[in-house]
Amino acid sequence: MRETEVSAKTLEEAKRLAMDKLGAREDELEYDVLNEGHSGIFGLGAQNAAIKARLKVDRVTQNILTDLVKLLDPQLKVEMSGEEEGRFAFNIEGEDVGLLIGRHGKTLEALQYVASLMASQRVGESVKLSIDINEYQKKHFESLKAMALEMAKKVKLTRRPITLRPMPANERRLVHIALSDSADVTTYSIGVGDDRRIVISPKYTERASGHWGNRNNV
Amino acid sequence: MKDLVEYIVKSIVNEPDKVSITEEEGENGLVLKLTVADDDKGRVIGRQGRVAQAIRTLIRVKAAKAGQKVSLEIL
Repeated sequence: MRETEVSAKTLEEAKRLAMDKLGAREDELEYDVLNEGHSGIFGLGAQNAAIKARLKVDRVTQNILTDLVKLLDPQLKVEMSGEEEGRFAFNIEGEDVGLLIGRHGKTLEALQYVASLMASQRVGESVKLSIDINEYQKKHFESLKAMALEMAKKVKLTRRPITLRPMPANERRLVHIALSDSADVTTYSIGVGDDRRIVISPKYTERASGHWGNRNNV
Repeated sequence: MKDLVEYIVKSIVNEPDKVSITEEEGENGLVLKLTVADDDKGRVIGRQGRVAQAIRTLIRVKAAKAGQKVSLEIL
């Protein structure tokens, strides 16, 4: 992470200098005071104020995303909804968001990707974020999970593997996890790139194993 | 439209001062022509064109909202 030590006559000045150096807005700066500094008596024994400052990555990321989203559609609002496993989570609220989500969430994915590139470039380390829109993702994940369980039931009954439609990595991960506890089925992925899809296969059948090539999970 | 592309591109390159975008009215709507420093070209295109693709996807959102046709050319 980018960090800088600066000193100046006053604390305020040191803060300004640090902001310039890091290209930070006031709300994006986080710092420790190394020396409060004092002006001394008639200039005798004067000491500069010194701070060690760095960027607040969550705030920087939020500001970037907010600015980006405003440029796309000014009525949208961005809120940070939390942080988990080093990934910042945001929710965008607004009207008429179908376009912003796109087919199978493709546009949302693009927004997420671009915002994370921008934030990473700015702070000098990899920034991960996930964006939800009107809690679309949350609902979408719930329905994906329900679909996975439904398909697993079918596989169990018919004892035949089912291949799902191609899905992006985060969705496949969700399906793998949703079915990882299943006593009846097992999951793996086939295909490459945009065509990568999950196969739900009954457990303990010789036929369902062996000839599908690459079966790394996710 | 230009401001959106400019904001994104300047934030992902190493030399934001060398980013330039011109707008031209073409037969198929607005054409944005983007140039960046040579060393930054890979950054705005990305592996398998992923970055350029994502930027174009976002442009499409804004264009659709404005009822416009917009395309991006990286020179």
